Amino acid sequence: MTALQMPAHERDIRNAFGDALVELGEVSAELVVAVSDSKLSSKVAEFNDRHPERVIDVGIAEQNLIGIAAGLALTGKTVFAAAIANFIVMRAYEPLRTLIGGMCLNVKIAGMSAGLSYPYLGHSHVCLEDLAITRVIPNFTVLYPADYWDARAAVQAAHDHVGPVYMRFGRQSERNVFDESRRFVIGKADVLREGRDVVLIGAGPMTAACCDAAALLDKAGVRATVVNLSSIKPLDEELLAALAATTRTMLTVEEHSIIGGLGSAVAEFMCRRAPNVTVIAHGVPDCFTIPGPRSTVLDHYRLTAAGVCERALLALRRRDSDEWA
Amino acid sequence: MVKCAGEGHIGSPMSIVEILVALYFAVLKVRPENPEWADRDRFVLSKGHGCGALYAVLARRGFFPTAWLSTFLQHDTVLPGHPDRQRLPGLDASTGSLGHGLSLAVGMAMAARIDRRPFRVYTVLGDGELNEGMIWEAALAASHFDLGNLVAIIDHNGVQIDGPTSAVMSTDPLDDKWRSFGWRTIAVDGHDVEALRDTMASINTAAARPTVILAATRKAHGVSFMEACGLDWHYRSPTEDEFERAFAELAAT
Repeated sequence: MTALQMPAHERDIRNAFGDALVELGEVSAELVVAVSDSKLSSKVAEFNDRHPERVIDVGIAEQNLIGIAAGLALTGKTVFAAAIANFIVMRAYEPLRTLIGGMCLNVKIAGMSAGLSYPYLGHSHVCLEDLAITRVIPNFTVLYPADYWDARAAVQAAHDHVGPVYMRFGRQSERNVFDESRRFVIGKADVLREGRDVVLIGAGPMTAACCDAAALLDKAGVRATVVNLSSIKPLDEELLAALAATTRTMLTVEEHSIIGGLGSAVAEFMCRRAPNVTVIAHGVPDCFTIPGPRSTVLDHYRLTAAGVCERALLALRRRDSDEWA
Repeated sequence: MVKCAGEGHIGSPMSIVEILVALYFAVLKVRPENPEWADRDRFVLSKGHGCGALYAVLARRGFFPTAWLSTFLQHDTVLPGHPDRQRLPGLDASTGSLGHGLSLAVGMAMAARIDRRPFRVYTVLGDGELNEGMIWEAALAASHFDLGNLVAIIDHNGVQIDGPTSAVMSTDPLDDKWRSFGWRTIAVDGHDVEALRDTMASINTAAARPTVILAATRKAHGVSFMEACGLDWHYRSPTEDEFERAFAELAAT
């Protein structure tokens, strides 16, 4: 299925945030939405129409957004705070860490348009560090849904979870991996297909790319397991340990810096539990990215099915010839 | 407490003792036996390093035994150098990083508004703390949202770590600044408990505008030789001799 064959509404993963909130708003009287001139970009217009008294727009002031969210949570509210990922996480990082993390508050942060969502806007708007810096905060749960339906279920799970959650919204991939029946369990990863040669671990839109890469690998005679790992923290350690027992080469794929994100999280676990497993982090190298359209910039960093396939084949070749991958 | 610990902020707590006494003994509707009472007035000590005074006042008000005060800054204490809500009953927020408190207070005041609950929100800010941009983001929001149920008290002692506030980063004229941000301003002697009480009692919290009280204070107030060089006493533990002299002077007043 191509993007144009998808229902129009599902072509934007951010709609999952707004749609889930509309649903939750009917059942949760304490739910409040806080934004920083980001009502439209966070797709909460419908929630705003239904519950204007429960939407707080603080203007372009992310530190204040997080401080106010903390004050609301201290007074019994379940707060969903949403803005462009760079600004809500990085501009407001210290209050996020000290107030939301430090007091273990019921605030759910939605970082919108993370990764290489619009690299043509320049690196001020490219967010490749948020998984690294949210995951390191104690008490925080970190989620990175794969598609519209995964995101919609993740918002519900974040609501039901007591404590701070960071939800990373990237761009919608060209097709949904999950469907309406999706139930999100924090701390659980999903095996989407099984193969004994290599494990591809994706998150966000790269999960779909991993599925496509596995099909390409099939043609090369390589059988890949594909895992969707939306719950970056906590990790599904049980599943990762089971995979490590059968397959020694894993490739993580993410629209994030190769420092500190999905790849690091998996590698940290393998260092502890299965140091004989090789984890290759396929993501954006340690650089400020070039500007350009999303598709060409993704291709530039080989964050495509073909790029993942190449990297996996290279890793297996090097494993067999005992080279460093 | 600071003497026992051999460490700690001392000038700042002495600057705000009377403000906290007025709040906790005459203004705030709180229930020490039920510190999480839903309709209590909220208090946020934005300048968290002034917590020495807050701990003493909370203990005297009955939130926890005064015997706990001797554990200030000790291993795994409930009384660290900045207030930690996860550890101590009676705190409405953890603070310490300067600039956070007014936003927290705005959030609390908005929650009261959303739920149509009657409580008020009070916060004490340092004047040096006003250098933080986040304070002014919150100042805009409080008046934009018509938070008449919010009262900020500025501990205006005119000193911060690197020197007089006027030399480090001028914020004067404070009353004009806050007025232009849409706040009602009141000036008061920050060491006069009765004046503080009467001022706070006079505030119409049903009005639309938030209120800021500019409390004229002196760092290390209450002990003449400390107050005379308040800046030196920002963070310092008194010697045995200084402690005796200070205690004698306080006992005589």
